[in-house]
Parts: sequence; C-alpha cells; structure tokens
Amino acid sequence: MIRHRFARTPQSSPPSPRRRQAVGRLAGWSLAAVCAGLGLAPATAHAEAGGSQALERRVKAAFLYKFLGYADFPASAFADSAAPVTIGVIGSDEMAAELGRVVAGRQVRGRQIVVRTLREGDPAQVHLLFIAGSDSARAARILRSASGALLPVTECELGLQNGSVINFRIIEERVRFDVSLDSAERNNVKLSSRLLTVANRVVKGNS
Amino acid sequence: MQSRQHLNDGGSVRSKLIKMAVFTTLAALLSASIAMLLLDLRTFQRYWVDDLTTQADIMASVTAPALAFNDASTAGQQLAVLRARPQILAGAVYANTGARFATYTKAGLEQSLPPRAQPAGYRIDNGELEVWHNVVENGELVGTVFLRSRYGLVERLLNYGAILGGVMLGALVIAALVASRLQAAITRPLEAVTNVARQVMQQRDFTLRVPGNNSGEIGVLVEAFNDMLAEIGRRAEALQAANRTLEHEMDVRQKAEGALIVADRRKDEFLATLAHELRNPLAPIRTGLDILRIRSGDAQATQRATDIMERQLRQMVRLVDDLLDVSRINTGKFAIKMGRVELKAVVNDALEVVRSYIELHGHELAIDLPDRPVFLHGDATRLAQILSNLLNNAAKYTNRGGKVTLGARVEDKTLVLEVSDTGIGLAPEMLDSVFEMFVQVDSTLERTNAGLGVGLSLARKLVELHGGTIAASSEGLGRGSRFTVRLPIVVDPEPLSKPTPAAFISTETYRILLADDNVDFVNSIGALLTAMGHSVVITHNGPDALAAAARFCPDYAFLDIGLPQMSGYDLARGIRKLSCGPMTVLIAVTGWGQEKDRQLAFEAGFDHHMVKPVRFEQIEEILGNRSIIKKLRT
Repeated sequence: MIRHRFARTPQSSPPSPRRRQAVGRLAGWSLAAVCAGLGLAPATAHAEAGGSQALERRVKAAFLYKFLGYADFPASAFADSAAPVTIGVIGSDEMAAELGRVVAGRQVRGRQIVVRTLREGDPAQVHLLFIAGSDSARAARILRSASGALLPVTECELGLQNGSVINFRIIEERVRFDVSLDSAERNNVKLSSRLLTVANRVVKGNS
Repeated sequence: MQSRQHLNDGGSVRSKLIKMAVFTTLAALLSASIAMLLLDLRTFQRYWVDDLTTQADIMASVTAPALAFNDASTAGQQLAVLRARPQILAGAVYANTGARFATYTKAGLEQSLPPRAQPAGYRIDNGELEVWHNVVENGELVGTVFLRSRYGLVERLLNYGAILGGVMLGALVIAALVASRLQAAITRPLEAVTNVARQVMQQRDFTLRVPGNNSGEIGVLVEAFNDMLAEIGRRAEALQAANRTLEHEMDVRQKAEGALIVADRRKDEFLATLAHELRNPLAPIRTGLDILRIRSGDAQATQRATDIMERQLRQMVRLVDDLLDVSRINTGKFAIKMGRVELKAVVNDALEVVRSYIELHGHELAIDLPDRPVFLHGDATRLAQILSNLLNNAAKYTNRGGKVTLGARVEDKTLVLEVSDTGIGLAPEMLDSVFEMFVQVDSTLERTNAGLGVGLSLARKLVELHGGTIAASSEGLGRGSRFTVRLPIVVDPEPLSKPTPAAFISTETYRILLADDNVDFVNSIGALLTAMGHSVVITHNGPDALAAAARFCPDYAFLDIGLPQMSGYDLARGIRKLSCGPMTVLIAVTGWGQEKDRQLAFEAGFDHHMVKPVRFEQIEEILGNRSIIKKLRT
C-alpha cells in the first residue's frame, strides 16, 4: 500500500522512469497531475519553471477554473443563457494571465469563461473573484468593497473569517483549500459536495 | 432354480422398463442441465462484468474530484471503500497522464498493479476479472479507474454443477422409484403369463389360467392367452379321447379277430368231429341192416341187430337235437316250458337215454339220490337233457371199465347234482373253457374219445336258463373229473293235481291222422300208434289228408309241412275250417326248427311244432296232454 502511494517526495516512489523524470522537473511540487489535468504541456511548465511561485500560481489557476465546475450560481447571476462566466482577478496580473491561458477554449456548463483583471475599488460584478496576496486585512477590505462577487477566493490566512468562500492554503507543500459553506450560502452559491470531499477544511457556522 | 429363472425373466423386462425411464430422465435432465449451465455461466459473466464496471463507474465518479484537485490521499481513502466488496482484490486510480495516482489492495493480499493506465474495457485472466474505466469530469478525461476482482467462474461452475448433479441424481432416483412402481402394471401380468406358460409346459395341465383383471393390450393378451389355453386343452382332451377310443377299438378288434380265428379253428374241428360223430353210428346201423337182411329168420340175431340200430340211432338223434338246441339258445329263440318237476322222474328220463351208452363202454354206474321227493321248477325234458349230457360226457371221457357216479343232495334250498367219473380228468386251465362251444378237452385224443364240444355247452346254458349254476372240477389230468350242478328247489310240498300221464295214455285211445310224404317214417309211426290201440289214418299228400280229416274227424293230426300238392300250413287252415276242425289238436312236423317256422305254424292254426326227426316219446307226450287240452276247450 505504502509502496504504491503517491509519495510526497518523488524520489521515494520509483514506479516508472517517466514518472521519476517528471517529478524531478517539478522540483518537489507534485503538480504533474494537475498540470496534466489542465492539459498543459509539461514543456510549458518546464519553460517557466522559474521558481515555486510560478508553479503555485499555475496550480491555483487550474484550481480556480475547476471551482467553476463544482459551483452552482443562481440563474439571476447571468443576463441570459449565453452570458459568459466571469472571473475577476485582483492583485496579480500574472495570475490573470495564467488564468487566461487556462480557460482559453474551455467552457463551463456551456458558458464561455471570461477573465478580467480588476483593481482594488473596481466594481467587482463577477462570478468568481480571486483576491491574490497573503495580506488578510487587505483581503478583508477588498471583500467588503467587492460585495457583488458571488464566489470570492482568497489566499490569505484569515480569508474565510473575512467572508471569503474558498481560501487557498499550502499544506505540506501542497496547494489545498478551505471552504466556508455559510459564506457560499449567503452568496446564494451552491457548492458541490464532491468538491467538499477534497477540501482541506469545510467551515460551517461562524468559526 | 425355477424361481430364480423366473425372477431373472421377470426382472429383465422390469429392469428394461426402469432403465428406459431412468435413461430418458437422464437424457432430458442432462440436456436441460447443460443448457442451464451455459446460460447461467453467460449470465454470471455478464453480471460480474457489469457489476465490476458499475463499481468502477462509482469509483470514477467518487474519485473524480480527488483527481481534479490532485488529492491522492483522498482518492486512496475513497478506494479503500472497496473493502466492502471482498471479491474485489485490488483497485487503482490513474491520472490522465497514465501515471498511477492511488491504489487499493485487499488486506492480506500481495497484488501487483499495472504501472500505467490502459484503455477502458475488461479482461478475464487466470480466474480474475479486470476492468478499466475512464474518469470523465466536466466533459474531460481526468483519469482511469482499475479494478481487479476474483472471478469465481470455476467455483461457480463447480457449485452449480454439484447442485445440478445432486438434483439430477435425486430426480433419477425418483424416476427409478416411479418407474419401478408403474412398471408393475406391465410386468406383473407378463410375469403371470410366463409362469402359467411354464407350468403348463411342465405339468401339461391345461386347466391353469392366468389370474387378474387387466385392461388394455395387456388385458387382451392375458385373455387371449387364457382362451388359447382353453382351446389347446379342449383339443388335447379330444385328441386323447380319440386315441383312447382308437386304442379301445383296436383292442376290441384284435380280440374279435383272435376270437374269430379261434372260432374258425373250432368250427373246422367241429365240422371234422361232426362228420365223424355222424358217421360213427352209421356203421353199426349198416351192420344191423346187413344182419337183418342176411339172417332175417334168426330172431335172436334180429333182436340184437335191432337193439344196436336203435341205440345208435338214438345217439345220433341226440347229437342232432343237441346241435339244434344249442343253435336255438344262441339265437335266443329257445324257450323252456317251466313246470313242477320231480327229481326222480328227471333222473329216470336221463338214465333211459344214457344207460345203454354207459353199459356199452363197460362202466359201472352208481346212483345216490335223496329218499324224499325233491321238486324242481323247470322243464322236465331239459333237466333230463342236462343230466344225460353230463352222464354221456362222463362215459365218453372215461376209459373202458371206469366208474360213473351220479349223486344228488339238498343243501338249504338248492339241489346239488354231481356227476363224477374216473376218466381222463381236466387240466386246471380247462375247467372253465370246457363249457364253451366246440371246445374239446384235447384235440390230440383219439377220435373215438372226441366229442362235438356241444354237450357241456348246452348243459350249461340249460342250467342257466333254470337259474342254476354249473362248475367243473378235477384233481388233474388222468384223475377223473366232477361236474356240479346247483338248481333252486321249489319247496311246495303237495301239488294240487298230480297227473300221471302214463296212466291216461294207457287207458285212453284217440283218432289220429298222420300226413307225411316220407312213407317209411309215417308208416312206422302209424304202426306203433295202432299197436298202442289208437285209430290211425295215414295219408301222403295234402288233399288226401284234408279229405280224411273231414271224414275221420281226428283228435290228433300230425302234419308234415312240406307235403306234395298242398303245404302243411294250408292243410292246417283247411282242417280248422271243418266242422270238427277246432277240436283237433294240430301238430306240425317239419325239418325246419327255426322260430320263424314255429311262428308260421302257430299262425296257421297248429297247436304244436315238432322238428324232425320225431322221437316216439314226443308223440306220446303230446297225446298225454290231451286231457288238459280237452278241459281247456270245453
């Protein structure tokens, strides 16, 4: 059982030469599966492998896109049936760019995906709002101002307490996320239970 | 042996029937079982594949988020749910890159999992079923699920086969039981038929029948078999009866043939003897005639010659009389006139006949009679004939100078007459047959001793007609013989009338008409009657006789039947029509002694019928009865 487990360190698991090679390239970040899941060529990842920051950003971008698949927005959130799903990104143009690459040519439930780069204070009438940065106070400020966002995603320490629905965490060198069901419910967004199964923590109530 | 064979025979049909049922059941069950087995295995496989595919689908759905969000530990936990399915040996989730993402193996098992993902589908290998299933999320292939399960096909096959085999065995046993019960309806009657057939073969008893009341073809068979037995029995019986009849007839015919041969031989001997016996008296008679012719003057010689001739003639007449009597007895036309007879008279009559013959042989004759009179019921003439025959016989078969004894005694109500001699005797085997017709004691005896074999036969028949018995005894050849006659006695002491005819004859005279063309005979009789004092008219033809009768009005008319010009019958009828005719006693004198002739004579009006040659005593007897006739007619 142990032997076959997805090891934290690539070296500890020697299933195949190809696997070992890929893991080695990712320099400890076991993200090959995520990259493959997003259809990104390993070559691209390799080209931009400037550091763990870039890798983390790519993983998070992929996650952001995937969250759309497990989120059910109210019908009133869309102007019409053909209206696209919009993703707003605040505080990281790199992330916006990365996300733009991820969603290119993809649809969620038959809707196009649009990525918009927002500034702090911009009216944030988007379906999913990613607030970059680990500054919880800033994130809280932005969350308060951007009350129009239906599914806010943060990556700061106190994201959920400040009203975010999903908050990225780095746990054991892996990108994980916590979920607040109360916030989702407040925003009238239904999150799939299947998403919750892979969440690091699911918060219900004002904890 | 028999019963075992019987069981074997019965068992073969029975076992065939049971085998038939069992094998039919077996064939049906086998084909049904094979079909069921194949169907089940196919269903089984499809079920297992479907089941595992469904399981893989569920796993795919469950692990899809884990794959999407790269959560291998969650995927591992989710795979661990497969614990609930013990038949699943191992499972794995592969990322869409083909790399293994998470795994599960059943506790306690060493399983090698494929390192790379493979196309969707299933594979059955070495008792294991493997399923590859794609994980599709949001229209994108995110990975592959692999499940490996125990595939219990052989196990299933064995289990199912065992159950089917058990069921089949049970069904066969039931079929055998049912068949063994049902077959009895067929085999039992067959067995019964076989048994009866065997018994019939062994015992030849066609009265045996197959019991039971069966219906259908078996019933028809049994019935037909029984009918057949009955028919065979009838035929066999008929055949046996026919055989018995044939055997009996054959026997009878053979006896008859033997008897005919014997009778023929006796007849030949009889003819030879008869000729001899008839010839014998002729020589002395011729000699007597010669004496009379040559020495007619010598009174003494004439007397002696006349004596000889008379004796010889009497012997000859006796012989012929016996023959005629025997013939009458044999043809059942012999009648005896029963009456009251005194023994001494009978003995005297008999002695009168045979005394001269006994003396001629130089025998001593001893007579011993009871003192008081003994009365018998019978015909005096015939009783005398019995005695004379026995005495004659004794004289004949005793060598010259022997002794002949006649004894009589009364035992209870039976008169026992014994005639014994000191003659040649009888062999024991001859004691019965001497009484048969034409049987002589010994044909090798000298002819002089030989008789006709008629006398004893006649004697026995006469005795039997009188209700008596006769037996011969002898102490052996050469030691004499003894003939014993037993006759019933009538004990009535005093008869009402005791006529003594002789007295009347001597005192009374009649008118007598004699008609015969035998001139010598009629003349000699006429002379005798005339000498006795009667008035006699002699005629030699019918018309003369009729004329004489009309004129003479006789008391007695002795008429020959074969008269010239007019038959005795016509003459009798003519006489009866005369005025004095009814009073005349008519006596037919004829050479024909048959009953038919006698009947004709009575029809023509005759009162008596005499067969030639007529002895004078007979005429005297008829004349002696005249008084009785007179009484009847008046």
